[in-house]
Amino acid sequence: MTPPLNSSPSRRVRREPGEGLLAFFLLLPAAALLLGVLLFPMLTTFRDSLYLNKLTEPWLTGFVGLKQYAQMLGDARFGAALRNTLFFGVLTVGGSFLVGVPMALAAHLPSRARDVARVALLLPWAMPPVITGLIFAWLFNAQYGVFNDLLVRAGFIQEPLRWLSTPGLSVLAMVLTIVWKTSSFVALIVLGGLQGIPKEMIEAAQVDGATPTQTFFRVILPLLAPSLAVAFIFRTISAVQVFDIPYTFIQQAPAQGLLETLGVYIYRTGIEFLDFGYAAALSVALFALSLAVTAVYVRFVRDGGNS
Amino acid sequence: MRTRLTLTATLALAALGSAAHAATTLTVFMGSQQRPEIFQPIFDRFEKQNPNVRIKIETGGATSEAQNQYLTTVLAAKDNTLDLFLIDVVRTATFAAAGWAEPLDAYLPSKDTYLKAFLPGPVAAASVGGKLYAMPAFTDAQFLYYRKDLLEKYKAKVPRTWDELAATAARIQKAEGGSLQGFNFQGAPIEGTVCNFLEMTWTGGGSVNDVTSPAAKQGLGFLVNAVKTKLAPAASAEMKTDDSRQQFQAGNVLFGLNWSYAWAHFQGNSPQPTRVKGDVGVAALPAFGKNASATCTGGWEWGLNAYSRNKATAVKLLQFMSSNDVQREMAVKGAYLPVRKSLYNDKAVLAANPHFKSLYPIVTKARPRPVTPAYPRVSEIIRNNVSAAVAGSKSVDAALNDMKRDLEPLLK
Repeated sequence: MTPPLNSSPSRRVRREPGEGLLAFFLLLPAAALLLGVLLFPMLTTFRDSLYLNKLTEPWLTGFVGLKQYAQMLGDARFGAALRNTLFFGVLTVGGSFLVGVPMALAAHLPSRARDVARVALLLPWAMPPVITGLIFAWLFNAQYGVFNDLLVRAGFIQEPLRWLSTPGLSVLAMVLTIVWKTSSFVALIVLGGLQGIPKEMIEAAQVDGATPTQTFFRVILPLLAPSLAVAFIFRTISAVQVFDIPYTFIQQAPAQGLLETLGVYIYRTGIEFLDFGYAAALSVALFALSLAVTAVYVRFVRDGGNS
Repeated sequence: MRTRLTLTATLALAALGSAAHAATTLTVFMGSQQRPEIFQPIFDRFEKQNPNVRIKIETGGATSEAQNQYLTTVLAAKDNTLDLFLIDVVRTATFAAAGWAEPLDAYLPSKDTYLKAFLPGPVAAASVGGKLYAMPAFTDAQFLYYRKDLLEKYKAKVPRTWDELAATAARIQKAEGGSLQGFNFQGAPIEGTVCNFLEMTWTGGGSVNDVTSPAAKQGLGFLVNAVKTKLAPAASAEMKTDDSRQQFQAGNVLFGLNWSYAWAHFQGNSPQPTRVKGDVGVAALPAFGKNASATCTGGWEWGLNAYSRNKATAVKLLQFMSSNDVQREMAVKGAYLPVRKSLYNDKAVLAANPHFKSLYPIVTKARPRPVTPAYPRVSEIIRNNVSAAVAGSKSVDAALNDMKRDLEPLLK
């Protein structure tokens, strides 16, 4: 297990005899709960991935070993979903930092905009993702959408854009939506980091004659690195698993092949096509992908703890 | 203390006693969109006639997809707490293959005679391999809605062919100017789009078994062309069923394809204001050349849970629900299209819904969408390709070739 970040031998409390046993019993309920809701479904999903279980062809049952994993390798749709997931991951994680870090600064630095920025920062974060997807799909609507209306009024376009039914635009619309939704998460974490930077450091930099730009890049940014890394890793994990917003968009847009993420493909395979075995195998693949990202996180935390 | 104990014991015994005598409780699942409030009084009547039976309505899910998702979860776990469920007609084959819907044949000794009084479309949609897997509850179909006032103004006839429709629409659209849509159909990746494509193909003499046939090309080509020639709106690939309804209701559409529910909205029974009250006509879909008109069967049907412990009682309720009396009541109070033929000539029904008379020849021609357990996949393949063609991101040929490639292994 990972030791707590600030543990050092000198601060460790001496253990009373029997304390270990007490700790064990105190941890037991939470551990049992976690095992029940996390480990158990994980194991059953893995088991399901080794069996055929397709309700539309119920006579096809039985143990097939790794066959459904082999099927995945030849499945063009799985490949596309995986590519889409990674593509959206890069765009939306990057985008959420480009928007989230300035948002955090606006909410941190004393200015008139600060209160507004703090409210604006919480709103997208508090909004359920499915609702976000539905609202944005409506905002991007070709005929009634607010975005088209604004763009036409501002004179940027003559004819309304068909955001959802033009392949490239539908991708852009979805990326913008996810960035809007997830930037505030980045901003919240970075804001926390900013507030942990002692004022003296910044004042010292200013006394030494640093310009605001220099202060930001030479002092603030390096001190923010741990918060940025945590935000980055959490964002990446959620980007790999993204489901809600693509799922709502995909029901509006014909450019399905471009918008389907791994999460959506799993849902469709299991709940819509009733192929539980293959859906389980796909889930294990997604799990492996998430695990890879998480491994980076665990390593980061451990190294952070040691240094 | 003792008295309390005795009391508790007595109560417990009483409860046990009544449980033994009581009544079978039938649990019926339906979605909130099917308006349980219309069904409740009908179930109450059944309870009165059958004092041993209690009926409990369980609702869940606002859309066909959400309800299906719930039922999938429950039935995959072999749950026996639901006895009957209301399902979309496209689900029959899936529920049959999964073993969730009990075949009703054994419970209906003279099935063929019994079903003779029903419309053929809903019965075909409820049957798989000659067996009846569900009882038609109420039916639906897509119709051609048109603006009577505009046709009169320009002395135009209700079109019998798609070419006539295009010509009339172009003429009136030009004369009226503004934002009037000559033709409105569903092109978003949704179920209505699947129906629109099938109808265009059927009315050209084609079938879903050969989607690269000249009939299918002509059909999809017509939809794509309607967008290109601005007869239909540029954003038709984003048009969903209720968008179509709202635009027609706002007075922006001359000819529109839609389900029966739109009628009540057009007449003012709607959350949005209507600008077409009294000016709407309903007709059968046009056809290409001399081909026959056709339309898609919609509507819902009752499935009997294969794991239910009260099957015989449940079937009794099903027969009650599809009886003349109940079908009439549902038509009068809820404007549901009856599944029994004779009711389209029934005084009470026509008094409440005068337009049902003109719907009858259309619903008798309604055809089911492909009845296959893989329907969700079939639907996805059709709707995505049609939508992409309407959006212009795929050519008609490419869309149909992709459709054929993906449908072939599923529709053998």
